[in-house]
Amino acid sequence: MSETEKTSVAALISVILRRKLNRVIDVKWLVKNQDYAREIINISRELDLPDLSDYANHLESLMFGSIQSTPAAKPKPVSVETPVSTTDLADGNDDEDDGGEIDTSKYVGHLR
Amino acid sequence: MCLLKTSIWARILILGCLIMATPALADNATQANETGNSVQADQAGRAPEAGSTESATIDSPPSPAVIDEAAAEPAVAPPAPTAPYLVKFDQISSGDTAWMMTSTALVLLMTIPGLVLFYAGMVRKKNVLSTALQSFAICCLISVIWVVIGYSLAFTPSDSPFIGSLDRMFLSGLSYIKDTSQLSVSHIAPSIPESVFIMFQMTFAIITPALIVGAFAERMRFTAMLVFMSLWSIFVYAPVAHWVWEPSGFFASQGVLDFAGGTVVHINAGAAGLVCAYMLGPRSGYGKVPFVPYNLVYTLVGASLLWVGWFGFNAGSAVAADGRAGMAMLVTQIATAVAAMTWISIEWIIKSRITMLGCASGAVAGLVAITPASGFVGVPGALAIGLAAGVCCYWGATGLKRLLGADDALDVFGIHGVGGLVGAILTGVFVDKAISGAEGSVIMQTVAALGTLLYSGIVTLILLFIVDFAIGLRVDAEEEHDGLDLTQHAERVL
Repeated sequence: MSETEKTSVAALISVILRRKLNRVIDVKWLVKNQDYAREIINISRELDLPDLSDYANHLESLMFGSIQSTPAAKPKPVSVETPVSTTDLADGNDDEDDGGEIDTSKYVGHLR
Repeated sequence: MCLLKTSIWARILILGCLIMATPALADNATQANETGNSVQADQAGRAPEAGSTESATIDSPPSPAVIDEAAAEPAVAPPAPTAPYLVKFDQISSGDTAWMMTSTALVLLMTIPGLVLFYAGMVRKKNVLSTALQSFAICCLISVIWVVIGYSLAFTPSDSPFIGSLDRMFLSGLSYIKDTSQLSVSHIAPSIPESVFIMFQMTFAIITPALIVGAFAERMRFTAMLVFMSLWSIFVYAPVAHWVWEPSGFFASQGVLDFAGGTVVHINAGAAGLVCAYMLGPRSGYGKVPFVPYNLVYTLVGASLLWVGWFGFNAGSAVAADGRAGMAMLVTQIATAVAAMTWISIEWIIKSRITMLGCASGAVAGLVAITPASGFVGVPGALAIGLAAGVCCYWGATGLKRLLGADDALDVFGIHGVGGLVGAILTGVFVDKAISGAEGSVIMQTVAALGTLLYSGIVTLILLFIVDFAIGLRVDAEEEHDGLDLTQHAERVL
């Protein structure tokens, strides 16, 4: 499956999680890291939201080839595996990958 | 419900246009050949070369009424035309036409993709597509409005110095007749086909509202934006263009100089942008969290396209491929470079670092400020205007922005409004009679600049109230949080 399709589904999951749980996830990392993906898929299913469950199933089939009823691997703490930048938390860019190197404070209240 | 309201507005607009077009279509033939008072294009800064004006006027086929008068009083020379009229093919300058077609393409390039990239690079990733689409959609929308009513309101002489006639709605009177080897020309640009002049002016009508997009970026509803821009183009852009560029317009007849649109385009858009920023309110989290730009390389590419396209904007405004166009091109390059160097020098002094965004912003500030002056000033004027633009626009995008307290997201007022004011006023200071034959007045330049600022601001405010009442201007908080790309357009940058 194409990376684009995986990222599209992951982005949809990201939006719902942020709306319902105010939880920010890293979309790029989600499509790259299988353990992180399984964790997010499990969280999505546990919420028992029809759309979210569908997206979780779709993502699972895209990433692992088939829908599994139980977690396939030991989940790791999201906080360890997820490089969520301060930028993402601050302005809602949920898939930035700036490595935390940029001083984003200069963009508070002005651009220039 | 919103869709219903939008539809009602659209129907009212179209109905109004059709009602007003009826007499225009009936009077088509007469208007196309009408002649009247003397051309004052020199004062508007858009005069064709003297020789070409004379030739076109003398050789142009007069209307039957003019023939009768000429027979009765053969000693009286026909007055210079003040409305579009027909000429023979061989009276068109192929050189001027080629340059104006090139300029038209260059100015269009400024909006798509120049401004699209310039703005898209500065917004957050979740709003990149919506910001880009807004400029692109404006290009399509204004193209239609311009041919339906905008051109007529802006460039058709009327009894009023404040607004043009509706006689040219739907481009009534635009002619190209192969059998008789005739085509229509504008009285403002008699050496090129009127179709080319209409297209050239259309690209200005497109970029002006597109500039405003930067002020309300990341929070305006797309449908509201389309309706607002339609109204703004008709009730703000067209009248101001008429005041300044139509020789019988209020400011043009007073000797106000605006070669390529410092007042019509930049002050106009800057004032409207500031009012939009106030009316829509700040973005959620503004001043508290960082709004990280998506990709500043896009912004630099966009600024570069703007710079190149600006040669069409300024040198094209000579409406001829001549020495004055060459001077306009030269001073444009000089002022732009000086303003960019000034901006980064200030950054170096104040912040101890030079930014790419600063350099690009300085260049745009210089381009804006030299716009009204480009056909009137020499190299010393360009150097001074570039320097002043760098200093003033830096302050406009930083200190003044804090002072005003509006979330003018991409600094439309700070750069275009302030740069336009600086350029308009300094045109009166540095105008060189040897270049244009025109003399400027700092007082009149200031009056015109402030008058446009006020008119644009007030009418924009009224239009925004109307659109807010009818449709609603702003997306809701949740949609804004998720980004306009997904919530308005169901698309996303990956």
